[in-house]
Amino acid sequence: MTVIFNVQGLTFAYDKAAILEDLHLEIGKGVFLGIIGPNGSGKSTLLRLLSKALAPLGGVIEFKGTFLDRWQRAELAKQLAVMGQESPQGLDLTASQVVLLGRAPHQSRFGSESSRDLQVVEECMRITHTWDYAFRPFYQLSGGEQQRVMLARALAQEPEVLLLDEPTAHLDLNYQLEFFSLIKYLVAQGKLTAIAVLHDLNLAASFCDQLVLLSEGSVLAAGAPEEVLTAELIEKAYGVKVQVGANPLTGRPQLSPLPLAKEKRSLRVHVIGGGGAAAKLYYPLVQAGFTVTTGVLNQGDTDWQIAKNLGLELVEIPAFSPISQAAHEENLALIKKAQAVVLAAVPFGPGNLENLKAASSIDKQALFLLSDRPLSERDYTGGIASKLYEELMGRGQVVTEEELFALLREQSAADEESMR
Amino acid sequence: MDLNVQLKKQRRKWHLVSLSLFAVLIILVLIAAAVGSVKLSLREVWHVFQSKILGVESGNEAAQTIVWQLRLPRILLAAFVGAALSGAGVALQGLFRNSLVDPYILGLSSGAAFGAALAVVLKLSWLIPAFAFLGGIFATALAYTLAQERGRVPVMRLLLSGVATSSFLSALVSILMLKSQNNLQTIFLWLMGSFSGRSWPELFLVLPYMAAGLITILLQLRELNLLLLGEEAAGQLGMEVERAKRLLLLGAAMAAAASVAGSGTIAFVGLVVPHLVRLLTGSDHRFLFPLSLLTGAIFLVLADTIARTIMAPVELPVGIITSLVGAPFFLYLLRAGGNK
Repeated sequence: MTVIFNVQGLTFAYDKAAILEDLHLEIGKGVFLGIIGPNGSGKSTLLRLLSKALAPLGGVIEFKGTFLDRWQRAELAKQLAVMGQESPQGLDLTASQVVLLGRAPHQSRFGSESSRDLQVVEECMRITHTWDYAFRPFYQLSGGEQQRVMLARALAQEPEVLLLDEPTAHLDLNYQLEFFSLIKYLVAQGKLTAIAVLHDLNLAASFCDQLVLLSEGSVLAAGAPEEVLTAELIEKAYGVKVQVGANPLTGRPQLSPLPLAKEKRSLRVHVIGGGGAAAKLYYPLVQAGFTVTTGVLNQGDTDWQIAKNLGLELVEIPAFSPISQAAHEENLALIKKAQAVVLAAVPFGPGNLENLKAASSIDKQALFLLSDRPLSERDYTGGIASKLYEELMGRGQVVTEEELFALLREQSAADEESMR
Repeated sequence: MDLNVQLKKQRRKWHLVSLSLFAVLIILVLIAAAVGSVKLSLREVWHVFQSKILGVESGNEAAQTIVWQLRLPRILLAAFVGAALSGAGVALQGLFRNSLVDPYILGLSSGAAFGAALAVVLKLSWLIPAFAFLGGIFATALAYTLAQERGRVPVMRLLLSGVATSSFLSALVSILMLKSQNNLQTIFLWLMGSFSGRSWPELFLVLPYMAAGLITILLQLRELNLLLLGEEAAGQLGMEVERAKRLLLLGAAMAAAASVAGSGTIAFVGLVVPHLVRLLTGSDHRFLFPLSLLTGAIFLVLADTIARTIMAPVELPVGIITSLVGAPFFLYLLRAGGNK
């Protein structure tokens, strides 16, 4: 691997507080590298140091084997291009004039544009889909269009290395994907090394070959997305618990933040679920601060998957098998410990009728029956379930999801009051 | 759509506009040489030019003196001052990326005024141009030095230190004016700007500095275009930003200080002309700069001609005309341009 950037012991501070401290990093040729990290971790500062817009306070940066401060700016600009976060405001030039400015490093002071300059400009505008408005004034373009023109301008420098600082901040989802696909394509063609500061971790995971995770001014982790985007490292850097799964289409890591309870409530809620009926309840229940248990769920069921991901205490049975006596009793034990029981709009068949029976075991607990779908539509037991359900309706309340949360909060507040 | 064709078309268009403006300027100079307290015909003016340049005998001695000794040097000075102020305006507006900046923003006018007032108080009135020039350059250098921070000069700091320098020097000028009540009118007239009584020596005295200043700016037009993207982006395109800023500032200060030395502080030209031309050409400085020079020259020749004829035999300070005529015209164009 040829090393493009070799950063050793890099230190930088704007005033007194250090932004970067003793940062070490090697960046190889021909990769698409993403720099990630929380706000204030020094991502943009690192990029500006790499582009020589800032000078380090300590340590060294080597670009292609030569110290960066030995590089003439004019020479550097032929090999290194930068696309910043913001587009210049009120620029009274046409889009093509702006892109033409990117040819400056290749032009002599007084020479006019060569035919090669014009050819490169047109090519760069075509691949960025900006050629259609080449002759419109830059200031009249939308934020997204301006940003693509700025990319064309950077590419018109014909750089070996492209530095990008949150380049898609103003782009819609479709253009974001198009933007990164283009960068990835150029990198894959061997034409470019791309180094991008990115906010969106999932975007970084799906497009970048390598990631560098910064935290408090130094490198916390570097490597392939799978090595960097682990729940442990993300929690360390961002202070947020995440669930790392696989993107269903790319197989790359995909992060989902785990619910962050604003306040802890003492109330324990048991959810009787199954068949995907309770899936949407778990996350908000945890987020509201309740201790949530659930059962009995078949392995592989949507409810089971989500409850597992959220780390809930649950009673599980193998896929497609009926509820065993042991599982039923476990379920009853959880119900006994809870102060409230929620019966989701589960479809009932002979295999999970035990779950309905479990609900009738309530003693002092409050019982809530979710009214999403009438039971008649989800009774596959020939009426047995309906009968049991009717009896339950007398002992609990039929509620909508909204009412459920209001009532649970009320109950929780009352409980805490009485405990004082 | 062909980029090459478009660019050629654009370039041809601005060349044509430049040539037309140059023709307008020449005609205007001839007309301005004809009007005044003694009215001459264009033919008579033409004869004077023929005799002076081609050596053809004309015979009319009075016309020769009036045109060649009194009117022409003054008209040419007005043209060069107009060009210099406009050129300096283009450079500074580009440098600060702010089209409300004028050449006097960095304390240059107050510095020059202070120099001139000092010369008057010291009874060295014949040295007013030299004092004004040095005062203007000194004030700009002061503002620049005060704005320095770790080897860089952030433009925002430069603007602020310019405003502070300007205000400080204005106070000094006021003190000098109060101190020398009997010279009040000399200083006041000078502050308003006027070409009254200027002839060849004044013109040749200031011309080299204006030319040097404008050529310095001319060599930085590419840098001015890159600066449109912001200083950091310009640096990343290979430009030595601080060096270009110094050169632009030096060029603008020289051109503007020489103008002030030649004619006093004429308001509005350096602000309005670049602004107007930009409405027409857009921000490409390779077109904006030459067209601003020509427009500035035309504007000031016109203003001076009005200043010396409208209330003849009394001459108005030309600064009054530039503001009185220029401001409403500017507003009109701004509104018309806004409705586009």
